[in-house]
Order: sequence, then C-alpha cells, then structure tokens
Amino acid sequence: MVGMPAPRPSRVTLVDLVALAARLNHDEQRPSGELVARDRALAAELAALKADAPVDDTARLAWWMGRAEDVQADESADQVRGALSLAGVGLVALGLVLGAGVALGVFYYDGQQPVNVVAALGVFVFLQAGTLLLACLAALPARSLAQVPGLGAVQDVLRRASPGRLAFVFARFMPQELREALASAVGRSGAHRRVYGRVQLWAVLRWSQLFAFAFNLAAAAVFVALVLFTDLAFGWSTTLSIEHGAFHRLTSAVSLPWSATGYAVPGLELVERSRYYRGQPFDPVERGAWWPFVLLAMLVYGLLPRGVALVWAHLALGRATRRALLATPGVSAVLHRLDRPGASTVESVGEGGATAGQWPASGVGDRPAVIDWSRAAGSAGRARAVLGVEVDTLLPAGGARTPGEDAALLEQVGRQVADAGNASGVVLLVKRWEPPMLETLEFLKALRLAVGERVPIWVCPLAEDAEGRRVSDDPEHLSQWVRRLRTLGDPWLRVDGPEEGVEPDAG
Amino acid sequence: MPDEPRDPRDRADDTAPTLAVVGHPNKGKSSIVATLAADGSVAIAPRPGTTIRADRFPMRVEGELLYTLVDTPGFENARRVLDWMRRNDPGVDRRHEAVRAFIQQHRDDPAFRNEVELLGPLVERDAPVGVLYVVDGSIPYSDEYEAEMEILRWAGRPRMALINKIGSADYTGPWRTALDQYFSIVRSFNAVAAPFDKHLELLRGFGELREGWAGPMRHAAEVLETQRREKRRTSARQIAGMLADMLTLTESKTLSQGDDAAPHKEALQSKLRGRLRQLERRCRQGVEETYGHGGLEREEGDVESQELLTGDLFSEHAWVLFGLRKKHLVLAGAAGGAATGGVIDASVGAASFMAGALVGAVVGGGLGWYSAGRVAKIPTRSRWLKGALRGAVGGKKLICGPIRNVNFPFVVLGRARYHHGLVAGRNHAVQGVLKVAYDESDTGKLNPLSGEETRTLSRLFAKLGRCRPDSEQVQPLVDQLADRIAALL
Ligand SMILES: Nc1nc2c(ncn2[C@@H]2O[C@H](COP(=O)(O)OP(=O)(O)OP(=O)(O)O)[C@@H](O)[C@H]2O)c(=O)[nH]1
Ligand SMILES: [Mg+2]
Repeated sequence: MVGMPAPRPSRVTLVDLVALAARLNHDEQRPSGELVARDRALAAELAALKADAPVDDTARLAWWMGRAEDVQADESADQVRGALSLAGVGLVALGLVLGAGVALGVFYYDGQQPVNVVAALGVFVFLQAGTLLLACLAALPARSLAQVPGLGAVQDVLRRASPGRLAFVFARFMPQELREALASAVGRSGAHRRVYGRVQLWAVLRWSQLFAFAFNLAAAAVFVALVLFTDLAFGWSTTLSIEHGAFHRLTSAVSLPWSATGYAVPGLELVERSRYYRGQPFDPVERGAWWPFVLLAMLVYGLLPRGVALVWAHLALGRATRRALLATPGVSAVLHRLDRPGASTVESVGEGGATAGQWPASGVGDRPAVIDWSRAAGSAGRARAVLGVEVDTLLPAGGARTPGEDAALLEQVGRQVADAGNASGVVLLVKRWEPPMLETLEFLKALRLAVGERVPIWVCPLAEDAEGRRVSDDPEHLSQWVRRLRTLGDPWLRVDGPEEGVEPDAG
Repeated sequence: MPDEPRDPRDRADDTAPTLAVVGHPNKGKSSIVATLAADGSVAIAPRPGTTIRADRFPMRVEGELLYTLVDTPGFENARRVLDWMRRNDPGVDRRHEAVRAFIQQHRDDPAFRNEVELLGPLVERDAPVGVLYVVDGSIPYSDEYEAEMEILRWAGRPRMALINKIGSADYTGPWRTALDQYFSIVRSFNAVAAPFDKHLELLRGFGELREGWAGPMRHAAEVLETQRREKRRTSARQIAGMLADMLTLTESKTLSQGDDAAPHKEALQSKLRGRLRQLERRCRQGVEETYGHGGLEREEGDVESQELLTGDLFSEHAWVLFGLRKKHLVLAGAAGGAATGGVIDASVGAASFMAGALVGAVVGGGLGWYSAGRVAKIPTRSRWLKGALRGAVGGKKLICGPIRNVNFPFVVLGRARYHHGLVAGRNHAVQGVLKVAYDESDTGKLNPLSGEETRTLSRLFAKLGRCRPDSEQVQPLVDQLADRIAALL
C-alpha cells in the first residue's frame, strides 16, 4: 500500500479523521522519545519550508499526516475509504432502485384506472417535504431544543431512525481494527464527545440526503420516461369525502411556487372533470393536462430541496470534520512538537587548542605571573596554597576594574614574562562557577599578544571561593570553561583545575 | 515572538506591562520567562549562551494580553559597554540616550552582540518597559556584576532584582545587601520550584514598579487565578470521563460452535487491560494539555516498573499505594452495595426498600473488606447468541468486563489525582521528563479521602458501573462525579 497523499486542509474528510485517529492510536503505544525524534525532524523540515510552510493548524496537521509515515494507519484509512465509498454507492443504488420502484407503482396504468394524482402528491410531495422537515429537526443543535419539552427525545429517535444509519450496517462488515479506528474516531471520550457527535450526526444526515436525492432522481426519471414512452391517464380519487373545490385549493397551493408562470397550474374545471371513482369507468380525456403539474411538484418538493440539503449536509460535515480533526486527542501534542525544531543549543567547539603534546613539560615554571580574575583567589597567600608555586604578587584583573586598568596590567605582565626568561608562564585564576564570558576571551587574546607565542598560559578555574569554601560541585562548570576556551585555538593554553594542574615540583 | 503582528483584539495592548528579563549568562533568565509566561517553548539549557536573541513572550488569556516578558541573552562584555558610555556621558538627565547611542553605534560589532540585543528592548521609545535583573542566589556575590547593574541604572527604567537560587548553597544575604544599592525592590523567586501562588504574588509585586501598573498586574493575577480554577475543573471533567469510560468498558468476541473459550478469554482480558491503560494515558495527556504541558515527555514505564507514575495500572504496587485502606473499602463497598440494593428495591416495590439496601450494604461491605490490596480480577462471562445470529454463526458470545472491583475506580482516581498534582505544580521552566521519586512513607497519603467522600464517590461509581456505555444516564453522572473530583484536586 502506498502512503496516503496529504489531505488538502480545505477538504478534510471522514477518512482523514479515521487515518488521524489510527495514527495517534499507534503513537500512543510508542515511546515518547521516538515520537519526539520523529516530529523534531519534521519540525526542522517544516521550518525549512519558510514561506511555503502551511500556516494554520489544520494545514500543518495535514502536512504532518502526509509526512509522518505510518503504513498501517494509511492502510486502515484506505480500507475505511473503500468501506465508506461502498456505503455511499450502496445507499445511492438503494435510493435509485426504491425511487424507480415506487414511481413505477404510483404511475402504474393499464388502461383500467387512471394514475391517481392524490397518491403521487402524497408520496412525492408530502412525504418528501415531511421527511425533509424531520431531517432538519434532527440537525438542529440539541441546545436549541432544550426549551421545548419532549422534542429532545423526538430528535434522538429521528437520528436513530434516519436511513443514513444504514451506512453503519455496512460498517459492520469492516475488519476489526477498522471498526476500532472508526470507534475511536467517533469516540466516547469526555470532552471530545460533543465534537465527534456532530461529525457522526452530519455523516448520517449526509448519507440520508444522498439516499433521498437518489430516490427522487430515479422517481422523476421514471416518470419522465413513462410520460414519453407510454400513455398515462391521470385522475384523482380519494376515499375521503372531499369536494373538488377543496382539492383544487390543494393543487393551487402546491403549484404556488410556479403559479406566476401560469404553466402547469390545474384549473378548477380540470379538477372537476378528472375526478373518478374506483371501479367505475372513466373517460381518459385529460391525458396531457396533469403531467407537467405532477413533474414540477416532484422536482420542486422532492429533487430540488434534497439537492440543497445534500450540499448543505456535505458542507456541514466538512466543517464538523475539520473541527473534530483538531479536537482529536493527541493532536495538540503533535502540533506542539512541530513547533519546536530541536533545542537551539550552541555547540561551540572549534578544533585546535591545547593538547598534552604541545604543553611544555615544565608547565608554567616555578615562578609564573599569576593573574587573579575578578578576585577569584583574593590574596597571594590563597593563590600560593591552591597552586603550590611561589606567588610574589597577585595581579588583579576583571571584576570591578575598568578595561583601561586591565590593559595596563597586561603590559606589566608582558614585561614580567620577558624578564623571567623562557621557562616562565602565566596563570589566570578564575571562578569555576561563573561561566566564561566574551570579555574573558578577549582578555586572553590580549594576554597572548602581550606575552607572545609559546609562552604557556594556564587558565585555572577554582572550585572554592576566596575563603576556601567549596562553591562549585558540578563537573559541567569545568567543561564549560574547557569548551569555550577551546574556541580560541591557542595551542599553548590549557584549562585545568588546580588538582589536575601543575605538579608542585618546586621546592 | 519578536515580530508577531499585533492582535487587534486586545484593547489592553497599550496598558499591558512589558518586563525585560536581563542578567548574567546562565542564571535562569529564560527559566523565569518560561514560568511566568507559562510557555514551554522558551529555550532553556544548562550551558551559558543558550538565549542569543531578545524574544517577546506575551501572556495572553483568551486573547487578552496581560503582560509581556522579554527573554534576553546574558551580558558578556558589560565593562566595556559601561566604559564607552562613561566616555560619552551626556549628563545624568540624559543617560538613557547614551545607552541608545551605544546601540546605534555597535549594531554590527560582534563584541557587543548580546548587549545590543538585550539593551534594545530597554530603550524602545514610548514603550514603558520594566527591568527584571536575575541573579543566582546559590553562588557568592562578586563585584563583576557591578558593571551590569550600573548599565541598567543608566537605561533609566524601573528595576527589580530577582534572586533565583539554582543550587543548594545560600548566599542570599550578601546578594540582598549588594542589590539593595541598585534596585528599589529585591525579591527571591525560584523559577523552577515556586508554587503558583508565589507566581501571583510576584506578578502583583510588578505592579509596584511603575505608576499605573498596579491595576493591570492585579488584574493579570486575578485572570490567571480564575484560569487556574477553570483548568482544575476541566481536568476533573477529563478524569470523571475516563472513570466513566473505564467503569463501563467491556470487550467481547463471538465464538463459533466448536470454539474453546479458554484461550480467547485470556486474549480478551489482556485487550481490556490494554484499553484501560490507553484510557488512562489519554486522560493524562488531556490533563497535561489543559495545563499547557502538551509536549511533555512522559516516561511510559514497562509493566514491571515500580515508578509511581509510570508503574502499571495493574501492578500490585499501584493498588497498595493508591487503593483505599480496609476501613474505607468497607465503607465504599457498603455505599455501593446499598445503591445497588436500592435499585433492586425500586424494581421490586418500595415496601422492601430498606431490606434490599441493607442486604446490599452488608454484602458490599464484605466484598470491600475482601478486596483490600488485591488487584482487580476481570470478570468474564459468556452468553448464548440469540435468534438469527445464532442460526447464522452458532456458538456464543464471550464478554469481558466491566470491572466490578470496589477498589478499582479508587486506584484509578488516586493515580489521576497524583498525576494532576504533578502536572499542575509543574512550572514551565522545569526541564526533562515528568517523573518523580517518592517516599515509602507516602503510602496511604497519596489518595487521602474522608469517609464521607469515599461513600459519595462509591455511590457514583456503582451507579456508573450499572450504565451501558452509550446510555443517556452516563453524562449527568459524569457531571456529578466531576464536581466531586474538582473538590479533591
Ligand atoms: N534547580 C534550579 N535550576 C534552575 C533554576 N533556574 C534555572 N535553572 C537551571 O539553570 C540553567 C540555566 O537556565 P536558563 O533559564 O537557560 O538561564 P539563562 O539565564 O536564560 O541562560 P542564557 O540564556 O544562557 O543566558 C538551566 O539548566 C535551568 O534548568 C532554578 O530556580 N532551580
Ligand atoms: Mg536564556
């Protein structure tokens, strides 16, 4: 089975709803990490679409359904599609057959008795108008009926009795998994009940209208064929004692919609002449006079309103389905995942940087210049204690000092290192718990310029504060320093804590 | 979103306060924004430099803009910025212009990328912006923060300092002393752990920052409080709906004449259990979505897992932790039994009312006693097919469920309550999967219910258990149940 094409957002159908429900059903059984990974990738793809990216939630969901592969769900959806169109075709066929059959019965003429206009009106006008009215009643939102006692129950019965429910009989023949998908799409769960309820209702109503439309179409077609190819004689007869005047009023009322044209409106005289009584001979003089009236009545009260109702139900179903699509459990999680194309973390690792091979064996020597960044050590004594080397003066930088003061200090360090000869290096003491910042990086660049190439610089992030209390316990703190300073690409610079640093080899 | 087009709906846009959250890198600025804007999409990570652009996060409730938070990148080069501004000082009355001029001149300077981004929102013309300066109270104060605070002073906006403790050490004292010199208001606020009422308290506190803000911020707090109550009710409805679904759930299978029922029975039961688990998962997701944690990654443990939340619904562990204790079970059983007995009475005639209810209560109570700590058995029965169907396929129908165990709905409710508590108490700044450690001593405290509550609930559960799933009576019962549960959440 090939993957389904993504549904057009403006044309979401019941099938899409089922496909979505089946998909989310599967998703629910998979580990969330897998889903996140899948949808993050899709989110990135979506972000890459830029201007072409779908805008609203329905469109994004439709796009997602087209992209997130789920062969099994697509297969289910295809089967549902098949089943639903089968149901539709079945209902249309049933409507056509019934319509034709009823028409053949009503318009049966063997020369003995004329076609009874009363029966024709009863079946093709009053019955049609009546059932259409009931369909409208069923379609009303339940809330608007709450005030009228008893109507709610009537509505309930109507919804159950609608011929569209025949489609659910077809659904019985669907395989197990499909029925489950359908059941969960038309599910019972709490807040979703109302939304899905509307979908179910409109689906049933649309199927009813489809059926009724086919019925009326077949009846009208059969009637036209009978008029064209056979001789039909019309008359009217009823067991009720009705004056022909009353019946004329009825036909006038029925022909009201087209009375302005003056065409196909039976006159009083015609009505009077075409009355007949069962079992008595009649005179088929008025063959041609009745059929335009009957045909127009069938079209105006049967076919036309059913056509309108069908279109209306179709549109309403589309609307309800679109709403239900977004209300399906699990959808907001999908949309949420689509909104986040991966965490925007900065992976800032340049190549190069200090390696053990390049680091001079002598380290920073036994008399390095020690710079105290932002009072990380606070005093020369403390620096001596943590480093284990001789520290004559602690050189302050960073913190509350101005950039000018730092520049002056760098000059001094440059001189000091030059004086000490090539065995000496520089130590920069920093606080391990404060993240390395751009200004520290700039300072280190300037320091390199001041002391020249090949002079070892040891950046030493201290885990304790100036009083010796431990502040940083998180190994991530040191890694942050290592990672960021590596971007300097300085082979004679190393980052290490005092524990891992230079051996206290000097006396 | 930085360039979000203004929504014409909100009249309040012009009066709604905007607060820019600034500070050193990696001190929880984004976490505070995420928590106060209730937005899980704010980028938060343990490494510095996560936020690289100033982003606006509007807090809207039903289209009304309550306030906007601006997440910004951290200061990286504050001393040089201050140095430049000092050299270009136009006088105390116009210092904010120096800030603006700095931005103008350094737009493309990579050395000040973060500063240009973060200072931009502070000097926007005719937009009243407040400044929230965030520091980490678990590390010592240091004078390297002075330049930042001085720059903020130059920007000339109303300022508040927030001490957010990321680690466990406490340096709040020295921090307060230092911050008091630069900020008129200094508060402690934990982005990750602060409970909801602390959020509201802080929001009301923002009202003190500026003339005319007290009203909008008080209003914002009220709206959020109302919304909170609404969320609790929605969750209660979701939980009640799940319980109704669970209590009426059955699985069935038609067997043909010669079929042996035993293997099918096993399959049906495990299918039913699967459906129940799915209902629970779905409800949890619903609750998470209600609280705006829709994308939460939940750890779905395997069946053996002892984890409190992810442990299986049918593990004995869950039943011991969340089920009722013996005394309450007897109560629950009795109340449920009486309800059932009452129905028998109603059908037999009012005369026997008391007798039926009494017998029901005694039997129910006994069942309750018996079922303490036991995992529900799933009743399975078979029924001969009737009429035409029997002629067509022959055989019988195997029906599994619904679960009648008195304790079952209480276990489900207990788990739902516990899960709701975690989700409702989870700030949007919290990272990672929803998962907690628990203490053995919690046993029995996880689903506390009074005797009265137990009785009312079990009556409702019993009534639900007698309904067909699609019956009209379910919805009113669910509504009643939701009211009860809302009071427990
Ligand atoms: N335990 C705890 N952790 C916190 C708290 N606030 C922030 N964090 C953690 O601290 C780290 C940094 O938080 P962010 O909110 O990204 O900090 P930031 O200031 O926005 O960082 P940058 O954007 O990089 O400048 C994250 O791992 C957070 O989870 C808190 O109150 N408690
Ligand atoms: Mg951030």
